[in-house]
Amino acid sequence: MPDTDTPTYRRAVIALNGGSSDERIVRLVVALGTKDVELIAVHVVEIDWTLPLDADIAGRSEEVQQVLDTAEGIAEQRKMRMEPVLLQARDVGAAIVDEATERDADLLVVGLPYRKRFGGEFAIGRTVPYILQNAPCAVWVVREPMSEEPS
Amino acid sequence: MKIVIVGCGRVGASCAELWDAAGHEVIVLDIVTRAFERLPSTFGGVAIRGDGTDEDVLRRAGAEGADVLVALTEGDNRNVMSAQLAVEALGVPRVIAKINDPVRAAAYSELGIATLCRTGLMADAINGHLGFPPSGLPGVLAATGHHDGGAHPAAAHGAHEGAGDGATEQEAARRAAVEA
Amino acid sequence: MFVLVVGGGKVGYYLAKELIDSGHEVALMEKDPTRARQIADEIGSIVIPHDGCEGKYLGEAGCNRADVVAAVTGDDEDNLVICQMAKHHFDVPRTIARVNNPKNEVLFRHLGVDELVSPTRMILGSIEQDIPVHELLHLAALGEGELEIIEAHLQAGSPAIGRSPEQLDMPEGCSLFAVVRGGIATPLRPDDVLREGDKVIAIGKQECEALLHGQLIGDPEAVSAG
Repeated sequence: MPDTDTPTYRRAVIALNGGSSDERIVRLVVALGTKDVELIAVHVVEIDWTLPLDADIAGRSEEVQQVLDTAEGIAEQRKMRMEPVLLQARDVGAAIVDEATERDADLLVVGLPYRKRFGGEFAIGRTVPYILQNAPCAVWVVREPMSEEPS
Repeated sequence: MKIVIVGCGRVGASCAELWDAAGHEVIVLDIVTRAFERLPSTFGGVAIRGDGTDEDVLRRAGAEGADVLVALTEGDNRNVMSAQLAVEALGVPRVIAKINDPVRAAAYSELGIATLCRTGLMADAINGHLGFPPSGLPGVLAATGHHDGGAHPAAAHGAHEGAGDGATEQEAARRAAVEA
Repeated sequence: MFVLVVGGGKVGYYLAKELIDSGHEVALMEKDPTRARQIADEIGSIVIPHDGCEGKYLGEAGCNRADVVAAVTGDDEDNLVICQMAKHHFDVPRTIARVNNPKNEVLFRHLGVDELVSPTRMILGSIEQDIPVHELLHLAALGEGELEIIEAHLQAGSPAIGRSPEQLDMPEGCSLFAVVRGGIATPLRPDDVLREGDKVIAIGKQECEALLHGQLIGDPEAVSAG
């Protein structure tokens, strides 16, 4: 068992995707943190190639802002500071890993909805494997329960 | 008529057999000699191993002076290139290219190449059989646009054929089919 | 500039890298997923792991807003189709194709590809430059090839040796403008006397080639021995 006095993490990057897992992972990270930890909530908006990367997409969307606001609200209830970061990128996984690297985070938390591919195979997507392979820090992947997102 | 068929698959071989039997002068090209095993022993035309996207090969095969070239290989782009070489370099007046990608098929018919799109043809054959409405995908498209090489007398002739007269798909199909 | 590169072989890979270094926005299409992932790992999120010949994927790659499309796959027919689709279907202002078979150059140019790069032709050019042949060496074609820049290596027997350009009977529409002597290129004045070993650079119409050959190389019959 780890020493209970050692904090679980100091600086965590929480990757939000706007789905149902966001609230779950924010609550988890908040619950396991102490007052002096740093929380960075990152929401990446993927921009497809038909638009330039700096196209005004994320700033305009209420929905996108809401993702970060909800996370901040949860942190606030526990009197914890959270820095919201909104990014536009071509690839979500690479943008999240870059952010965690730049911030020198010691924890990266990402949610994973339970989905199945056509044909019934479990689908992990491409973002989570990319993060697992490339993140420099510890990574927590929180998979959603099977029942919550039927496909 | 003198007809060049590029690609001796099932369709290519069947057409070669039919047209040869009907008395046309048929030249079939394929990069794989084994493909010619699909031709019947009675086939009286010419079968040549060679790349139909190579101008020299087409010339050596006698494509110059052909009335029709039909490009039926498994590669959409090889068919496009073969057809364009025939129009531009060899002055073949009528060409048809099989292009299975519907987007490319539509684009090239606008560029002056008659196209066959298996995706649309099959989907609509099935729709027809089941009594469903047509897919809207390209099937057989006549050359509606002018080919870039309008300067070439033979090319201009090819491009004018079936140009923008609002032919229905069926008319286009009949037009593209080589009269036996 | 937004440059769409199609084909992630060696050429596409280095091209994308160089373009990014010079500050351009680049998207690279590579249909082989393993190769695509490999490039993405090395250069970053610029790779679209799909076939650039497929109309749908060209659209998704942002072809409609590309300033330049460079088709550099190993297959000429693919490069031709990519450029034609870019030009005619997506209104891309500038298309560049890699051409492997030099014989395809004329067709590609004729079909509207803006620029052609032929590695075969370039290597061929270098080889021919090293071989002493009694022929004219084609250095470049201007426009659609109406005008050509030609090099003639003056060897024993050339009627031009010991004479100056003004003394030569140049075909109309043809002029000598430079000479390479001892590895140094200098502009050629009308009264400069030509020597054996000189490489004379001429510009002229394609149809003047035979006359130019006669003036600078010598009698074609004497060379080819009938």
